[in-house]
Amino acid sequence: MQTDSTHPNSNSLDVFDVPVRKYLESQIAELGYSPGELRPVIDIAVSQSKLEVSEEASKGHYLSYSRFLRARIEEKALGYIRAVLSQSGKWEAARERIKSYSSVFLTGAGISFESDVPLSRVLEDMLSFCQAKDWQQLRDDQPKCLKFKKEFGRICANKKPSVSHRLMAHNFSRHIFEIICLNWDNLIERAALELGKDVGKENEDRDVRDQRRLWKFHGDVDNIKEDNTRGIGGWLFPDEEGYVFDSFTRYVRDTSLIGQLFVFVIAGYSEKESNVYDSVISVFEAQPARPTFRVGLDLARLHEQYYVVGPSDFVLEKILPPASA
Amino acid sequence: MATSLGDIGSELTSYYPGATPKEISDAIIESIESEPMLRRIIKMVRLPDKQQIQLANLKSRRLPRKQAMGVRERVELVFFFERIKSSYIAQSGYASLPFISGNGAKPALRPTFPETSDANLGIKGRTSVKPDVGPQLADIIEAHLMEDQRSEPTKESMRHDVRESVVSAFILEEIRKRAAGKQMLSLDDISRIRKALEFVDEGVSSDEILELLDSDIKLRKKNLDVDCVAELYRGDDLLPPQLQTKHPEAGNTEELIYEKLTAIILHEYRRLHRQAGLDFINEKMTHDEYLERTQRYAVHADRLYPSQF
Repeated sequence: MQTDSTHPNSNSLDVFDVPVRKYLESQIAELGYSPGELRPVIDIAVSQSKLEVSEEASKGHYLSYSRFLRARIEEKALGYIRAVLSQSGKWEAARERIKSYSSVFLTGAGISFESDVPLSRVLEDMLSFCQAKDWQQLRDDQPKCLKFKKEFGRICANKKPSVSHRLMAHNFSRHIFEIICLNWDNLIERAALELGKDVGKENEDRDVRDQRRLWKFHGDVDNIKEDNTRGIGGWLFPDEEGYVFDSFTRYVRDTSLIGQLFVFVIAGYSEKESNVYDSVISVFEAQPARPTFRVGLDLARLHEQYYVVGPSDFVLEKILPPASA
Repeated sequence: MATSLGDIGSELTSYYPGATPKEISDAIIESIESEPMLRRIIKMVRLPDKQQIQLANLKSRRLPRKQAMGVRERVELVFFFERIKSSYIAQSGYASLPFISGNGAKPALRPTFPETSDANLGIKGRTSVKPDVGPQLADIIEAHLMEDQRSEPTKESMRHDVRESVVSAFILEEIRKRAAGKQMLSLDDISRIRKALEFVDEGVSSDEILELLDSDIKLRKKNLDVDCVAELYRGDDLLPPQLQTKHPEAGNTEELIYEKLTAIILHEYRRLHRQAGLDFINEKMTHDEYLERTQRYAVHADRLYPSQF
């Protein structure tokens, strides 16, 4: 039966969530997987499919017959899921390398997605809440900036570490030498605490004495300062080009980390910040060349040898030794 | 009509026993070559091509006898005028017709036609003169071709519908042959079946279409282990009533047909999308090609989707 709206938006397509998910779970079971373990994949697949179908319908590509729309969402989502599940070769390649010669991880907002930590769109609401019209105004207004940081910290305190956080905490520092986390949240640290581990953290630009560190260049809810100076507890906001501690550059050189063979894993990070790309990614990936695996949601890159499509929780479970081990 | 023309031919033969069949037919041709008559006849019939003649034959086999007779007559008329078209040289000026005198004097059976280079049957510049063969031929032509005083557009659409219904019947037969060879219906086949539905009871039987759809659904069940009709209603219990798929009314053949059509369209779209997904995963196509192709399938299927569902 035709829906009321000729051009449904993704919100109106929410009405199909329950039957779509039920269908996808049955198909996943037929493929031999447990629907529970693929829940983050289903979530991403369904939301992405609804967005695409909504865009197609808004361009007038087809009318909005209810049953047909639902079928379209189901097939798109299932296609996405099957693509993710088809990468066992990549999982195995990454896992073997990480177990053989360990890894360095660079992570962004994507690994905190499953923990429901506010991402960029939601952060705009927080800007409004702090009565700043944009990030520049927030930077320029110290009280508002402080309010923003504290509010984010409060929200974060109610979130729980995800599978990704726990796996990284568990495998640090045996299979993961260094973690560069560009998120403000402290979920990796809390996951480590749950495991009784102490993760040495560097959230300010100062000389480092020990090895195997958790680096937080862009700010930390555990280090909120009134002023917002980079390198001394200052937070970097989404409109900036990224920041890397000088101490990190020295550390990499002094510890000869760069000369060691390890797998470089970039998970849940868009690589859009030029400073991070120039000072970390291009260095680790190519100087010298080393296997670099990227974990993300760009289905168009499915055929790239070292690009693993999928949510971080799901993929890291495949490539990192389990938390129970 | 053709039978009547055959009677006329026989009658002429009796008047001119020494005349050959070709001379007789030439006389008949000449007698109806006058401008108003020919123009009306050609306008009425609009000579079809060989395939349409075959389709007309097919339709004549399928229709009830009364309708078949009418179609056969038209087919024969078509053949007749095919011969006219191939033998006629368009003229300008008056074509005199053989004079049949009551005293038995033989007329000139080969009238001389004015020369012209235009072979088109659109007679231009000819003086309009009714053939002098007596009232019978004109009346016969009137009776058989004019039928009644319908308007020109209605006649035009009738001719169009006759052709379309014949085409549809022909196509259904082709599709049935392929289905008998264990081939599933494609979206293009569905499109043709939907077109054929416009001519139910005009040479296309709804039972026939229902049977065709049923056999396709059974084929999909056997080959792909999927119950298309059940799939159509899957998940409806989890949706509000206004978004649930409508069930056909009991005994309503048309709705039953649309239900099965919808089920097949839905399944065929899913099957194509899934195949494209596998090709993408196996690196037989790029991501852009995958998006473009699945969107094409979706648009195609959507256009076939019956609005009732």
